Amino acid sequence: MLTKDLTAASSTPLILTILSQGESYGYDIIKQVRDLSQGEITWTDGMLYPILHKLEKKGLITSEWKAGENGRRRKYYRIQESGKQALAKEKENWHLITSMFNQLWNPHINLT
Amino acid sequence: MEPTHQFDLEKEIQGWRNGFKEQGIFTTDNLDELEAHLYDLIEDQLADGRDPKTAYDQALLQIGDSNSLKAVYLDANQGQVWRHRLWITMLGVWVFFVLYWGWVTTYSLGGYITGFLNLSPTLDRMAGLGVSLSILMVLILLMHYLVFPGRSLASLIPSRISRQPLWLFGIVGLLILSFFAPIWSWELVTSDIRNRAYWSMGWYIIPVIWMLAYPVSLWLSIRKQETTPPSSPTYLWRSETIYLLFGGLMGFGGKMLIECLAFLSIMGSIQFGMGFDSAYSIMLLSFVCLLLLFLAVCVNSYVSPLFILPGIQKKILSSSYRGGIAILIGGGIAGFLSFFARAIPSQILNMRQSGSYFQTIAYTEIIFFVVFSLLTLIWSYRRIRNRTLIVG
Repeated sequence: MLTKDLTAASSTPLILTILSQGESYGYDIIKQVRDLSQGEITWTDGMLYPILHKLEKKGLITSEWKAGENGRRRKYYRIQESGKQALAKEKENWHLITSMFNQLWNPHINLT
Repeated sequence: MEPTHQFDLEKEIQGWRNGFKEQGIFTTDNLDELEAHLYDLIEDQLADGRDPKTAYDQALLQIGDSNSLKAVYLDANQGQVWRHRLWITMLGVWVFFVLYWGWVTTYSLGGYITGFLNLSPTLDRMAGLGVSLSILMVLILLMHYLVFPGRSLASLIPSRISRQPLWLFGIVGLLILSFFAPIWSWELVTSDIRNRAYWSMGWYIIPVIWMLAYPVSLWLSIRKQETTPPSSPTYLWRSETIYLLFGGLMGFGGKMLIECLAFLSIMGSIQFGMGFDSAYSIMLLSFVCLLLLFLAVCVNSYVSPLFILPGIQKKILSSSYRGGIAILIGGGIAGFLSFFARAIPSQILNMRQSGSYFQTIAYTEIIFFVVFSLLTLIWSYRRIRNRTLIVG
């Protein structure tokens, strides 16, 4: 199980990555994260929305209320161009961190 | 035999949603989104073969406990929470002025009814204005009523009325007016000298009642806070009442600022035929009122954290204090502008007789009031349209 701090730090790139694959709504995002991490990352569902709202305020994503397949309204989120740029930056950062740890923990492996 | 307590899923979900309304932290949009999420969770649980009650309980566990949700949404909605309070405060300022003008109306109409008075043209106009403003008041009350919980007329049942602070103040205001108006009217016909004295007294009765009501309601709220859980249906109503009263104090403070500056100009020019004594006493009173206002701002800053959530008081304290100061500065600017709007025509247009002077005061206040009303209405409309209004 991931620590709270790491879960919080990875939330923005995770959300942006999922949304870069297509628009989605809160419940679906949480399900995807749970499936991808095989249950290792567990967000308290209600905590996701304030993060989404913050990203929306920053202009990285937009939202729209739409009726889902079952006719019930859901708020769908979509990534913006600035969100894609932010995601690219996040990817760089996470790659750098991963590469650093790989070098530190496996000094004999040369990744380049 | 049927079970006495059947589990009503819809009712439970609405109850859960209403629990969040009371804190004044969530917007309608937030709650709609959380509710949609809860439905998704329940649907999945039901699909797994769980009974409705278990599905509901499991879904609640997964979505998060209410205190954590409130804390995280409060953090995200800081700006909106404060804007909501400011909005309520603004409505309070508005209600204060409405009550004041309502008094002017009743006072003047009282004179008509007795038939013994020759009212001055200024008073005639004030009466007309008062009627118009009373109509506006009804409109804004209606708007407020439509915005707040139980948005349909069907919610106008006793248990709901207590959650409509503006209605309550409207009723209290009318009661005050109905009590005092005959006395003032009677005084008008029996003593011309005392007429002015009672007129002046009337100026201060409503603010003084307001000032007394403010600390009393604060005290009651603090006392109740120990025994009333945050999810109590009266919780938001109580804190909003405080903000309404606070707004009234701000309105009174703005008015006192106007008076204070105006009488300073009197002291300078001695052109209005008023004795130094009365100018001094009104000035002194204005300063005392300003001091009380400042104290009210301080008290509000320290008390308001109690109405949010325990544990995060520090954060709110600072924002509340900043907001209080902002309102005070805003009131000061309004008073300053009103002073110029009033003093300049008096000086430039040579309207130095007391009649013209007071007429100018009336017109200045009318402009101030109309602009303020329009701002309140526009702001309210924008908040409703953008769905950023904190529900309660």
